[in-house]
Amino acid sequence: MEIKQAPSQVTRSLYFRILAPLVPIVILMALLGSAVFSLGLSTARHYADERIQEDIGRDAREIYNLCDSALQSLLLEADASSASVLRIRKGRTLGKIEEYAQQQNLQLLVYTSDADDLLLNLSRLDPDTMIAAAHRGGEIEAVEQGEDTYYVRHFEFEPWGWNIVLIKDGKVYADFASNIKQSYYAIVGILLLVSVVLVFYFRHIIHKPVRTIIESIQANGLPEYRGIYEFEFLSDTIREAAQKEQQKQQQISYQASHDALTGLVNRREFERRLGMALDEAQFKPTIHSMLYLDLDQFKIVNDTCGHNAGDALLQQLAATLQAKLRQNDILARLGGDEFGVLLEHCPGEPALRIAETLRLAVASFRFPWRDKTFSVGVSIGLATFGGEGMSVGDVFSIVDGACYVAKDLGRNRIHVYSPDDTELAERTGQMNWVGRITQALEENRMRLYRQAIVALDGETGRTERHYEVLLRMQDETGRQISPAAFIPAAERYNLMPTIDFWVIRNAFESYAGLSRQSQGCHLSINLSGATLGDERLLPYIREQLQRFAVPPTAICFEITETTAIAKLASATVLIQELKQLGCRFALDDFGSGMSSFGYLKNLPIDFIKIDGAFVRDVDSDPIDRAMVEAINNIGHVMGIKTIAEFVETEAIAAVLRDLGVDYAQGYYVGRPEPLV
Amino acid sequence: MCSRLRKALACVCLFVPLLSQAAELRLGLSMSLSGKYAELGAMNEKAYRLWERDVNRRGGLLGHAVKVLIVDDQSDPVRARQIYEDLILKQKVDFVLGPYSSEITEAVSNVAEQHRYPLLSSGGSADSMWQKGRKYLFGVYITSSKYAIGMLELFVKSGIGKVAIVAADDNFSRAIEVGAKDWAKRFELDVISAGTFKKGSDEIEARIRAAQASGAEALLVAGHFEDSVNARRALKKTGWTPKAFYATVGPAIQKYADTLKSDADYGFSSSQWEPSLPFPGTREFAKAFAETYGIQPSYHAASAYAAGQIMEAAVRKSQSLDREKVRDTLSSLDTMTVMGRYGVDRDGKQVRHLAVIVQWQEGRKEVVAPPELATAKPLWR
Repeated sequence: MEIKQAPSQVTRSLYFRILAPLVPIVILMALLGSAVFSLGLSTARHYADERIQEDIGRDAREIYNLCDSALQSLLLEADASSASVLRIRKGRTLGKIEEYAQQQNLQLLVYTSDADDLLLNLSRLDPDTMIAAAHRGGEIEAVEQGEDTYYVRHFEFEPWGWNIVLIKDGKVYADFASNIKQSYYAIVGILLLVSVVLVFYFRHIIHKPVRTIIESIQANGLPEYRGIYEFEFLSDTIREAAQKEQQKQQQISYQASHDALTGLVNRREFERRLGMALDEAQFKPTIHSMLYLDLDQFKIVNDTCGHNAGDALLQQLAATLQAKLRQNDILARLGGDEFGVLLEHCPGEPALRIAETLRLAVASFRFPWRDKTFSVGVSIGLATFGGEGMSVGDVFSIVDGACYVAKDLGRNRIHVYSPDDTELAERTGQMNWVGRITQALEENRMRLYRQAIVALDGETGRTERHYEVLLRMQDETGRQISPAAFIPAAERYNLMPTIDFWVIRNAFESYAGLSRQSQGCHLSINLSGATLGDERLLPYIREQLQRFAVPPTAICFEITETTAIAKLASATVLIQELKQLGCRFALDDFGSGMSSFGYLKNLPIDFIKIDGAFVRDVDSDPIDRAMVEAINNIGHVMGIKTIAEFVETEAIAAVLRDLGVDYAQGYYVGRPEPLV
Repeated sequence: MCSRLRKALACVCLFVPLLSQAAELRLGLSMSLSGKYAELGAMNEKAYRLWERDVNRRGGLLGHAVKVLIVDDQSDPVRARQIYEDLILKQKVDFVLGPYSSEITEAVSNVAEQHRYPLLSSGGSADSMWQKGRKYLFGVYITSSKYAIGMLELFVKSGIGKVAIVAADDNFSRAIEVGAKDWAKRFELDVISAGTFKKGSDEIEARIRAAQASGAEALLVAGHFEDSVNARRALKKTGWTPKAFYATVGPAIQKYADTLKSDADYGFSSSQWEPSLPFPGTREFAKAFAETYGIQPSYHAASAYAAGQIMEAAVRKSQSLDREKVRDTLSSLDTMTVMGRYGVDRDGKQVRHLAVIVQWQEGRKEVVAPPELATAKPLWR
């Protein structure tokens, strides 16, 4: 892959950065070399002139001395006047001149006054030209012969009438200049070569590693280079940083898609996977299933043992559920105590089997915490979908609704969605409870009902009327909606304080009319856990009691056992404050959850409402009977009156009476009816 | 006396094993032991062997025994060239010495030059050998162009004004001819070139007739031994008796007289060496040569022996067997040998040596010039 290089960014390229300093250096050195070359030529010319003049002067002296010496020795000889001796001496002298000229690389002419009579010709040049030049008058004459220059000097050895012309080749200068020129060219050549070598060298040691690193990143996402240490170090550092970033991204991605507590896929990721399954179903004839799991009684663990316990339970339960699923099934924690399971390519029947497996697994799950062991149940909504064109929201709505139907039907069960499922249809119609509850409050579509609580001994029943205030909501069409349908939503979306405040105000308002109908009327009003912790509650009750002139003694507040235990401190304070006013308190649904008689010692309550689960079969189940009896006995020992819920038959009432339970509530003693 | 003898014996006992232990120093050369130069080649060989014996007697060279390897080149330049290549490349001799004749020296000097072996030219004197920029060739003889100077001087002194020159068609002879002409002019002699002749042919007779026809008073023949004999016979045949007859090489050696008998008389020649010359060791060499081989040495033998002496001096002065160092020493060496003085110019050409003019007079070879060394006065016809 080529490294992209925009033309406008050439100045930022590595090549440019390498060449930029080299080019001026080479130019500078070439200019410097040129200056040195010119200086060298000038020096050479000057030197050559001096040298030639010196050489030719010395040669002239030497040759003159040769002739002079020969003549002097001849004159000292006895037969100096002999013509033959003179001839021989002259010949020998010419021989010595020749030797000298050869030694000095000198061209030379010797002739008598008659220029045609050349005694010695040691010149490669035309003798006449040289002789003519020698006689021009100057001491040294320059003669141009073609491209060469010769320097000519003439002198005479008069005793013998010899004219001697010395010819010096100017090539000495030319050779010197040529040497300098060649040296300059060689230096320029070497500089260019060095520049090219440097460019290639830098390319090899810088550009190539950088290119390798870039290409490896482009190809593999990570740099891969081995060679020059620094680049190798750079490559490793980038690689390490990239790997750390990758790990960080993976961690972020994991965190973004997984639940921190259980390690399961979170809601967002689950929705993404569900979306993918839905998309796939659009193109492939396949059926997927989704389970929506909502734990039952988890709230008890969380409220009574704290969030740490709840968290530990969720972790263990998540592992338990995961173990029961297939490898490709996706288990997610959707929030709180809700889980989702996406069963891809899994139609309804096998999905139901899996749901049942999960339900059983949860049912048999035991959670030990300190000295106690808890069990929870699970309500499961199941829906299948294929290429119907449903959205993620649609599927969630359906399966969530199915889950609530399962809850409504008694919890710890599975409800399978079908298009003609009326219960679910109703549930789906109630999905947006927040808006509906708010709207109902604003439109005054909440209704208060009452259900009698009757003394079983028959003595108090006549003089005092005791009712539990029940809440009902009417939909837009006036149809009544069970609190079991909207209260969980209200609890979930923190609407309970609003509802409770509404109930208190309206119940107190209704009390005046009610007390007129039946003297000594007592009203039991339920307070949710969320309301119990609301610091506005106490002033509000005081204000409303005062406003509607309701005697506090006529009011009994019911709080559930689990709420009281979870918020023991605030509950105790509230109970004490209201009891000081005269209000009374009942512990609702006692025995349904974390029944601990120890708490009763710390709660200044007046009534215990025995959970209907024990009461329903008390006439036939000895365990339930024993449980009711135990609760009743303890309550009485502590000076607390007992109220049995779900008293639906005479037989139940009889058993309760036998056991000594103080009050009964249920269809046998009175069905719910409008409060006023 | 006994003590001195013991010391001498001890020295010998110490020296002999040392000489035998050191690696042998081998000097190789080709020599014309057969072919046209066999006569003079034999002279050279004998002289080299004599020097080999003498140098080893003197303790060899730098403690090394000297071995001279001589291979017959059959007077053939090509063969000689092959021999030198073999000696240098295969036998890897330490040094080489020169063959006989200018033409063979010319051929082998290229080999020596190529392999950087210094070569002493003890058998060649043609000027052209030193006009090619060679750096490893050093002359022992004066060059051919100067051969006839002494004779020309005698011509001037004797009043001869016109000289004819006849030359054989080889480098050596032509160099003599050119040199003689130049010098004759310097001595203001009238020189006539009568042309060249092919060696071994009868062309020489025609050339001599031409010389006679030119009116020359003296005849100067440039060539080798056979040429000088042929020239003398041609003179006799033509009936021309010039005032002086000069020939190179031939009249300088005994065989000339042995061949021509009385016709040899009056014949002049240049000699690079004569046994009568007063140089250090000359007489001893001549005596030893004669005793060893039973014949008198010619200047060819002396030059070969001198070459050995020069090499010996150069190695001793260099104190090294490195050929480059020996070459450098040879280029600047100034030493005496049985031949006389050795010294070369920057081209390697011999410039210190002195040649003499000899003449056969009544069956005896006499030195007639220069006057300082003359054993007799020249005779003119």
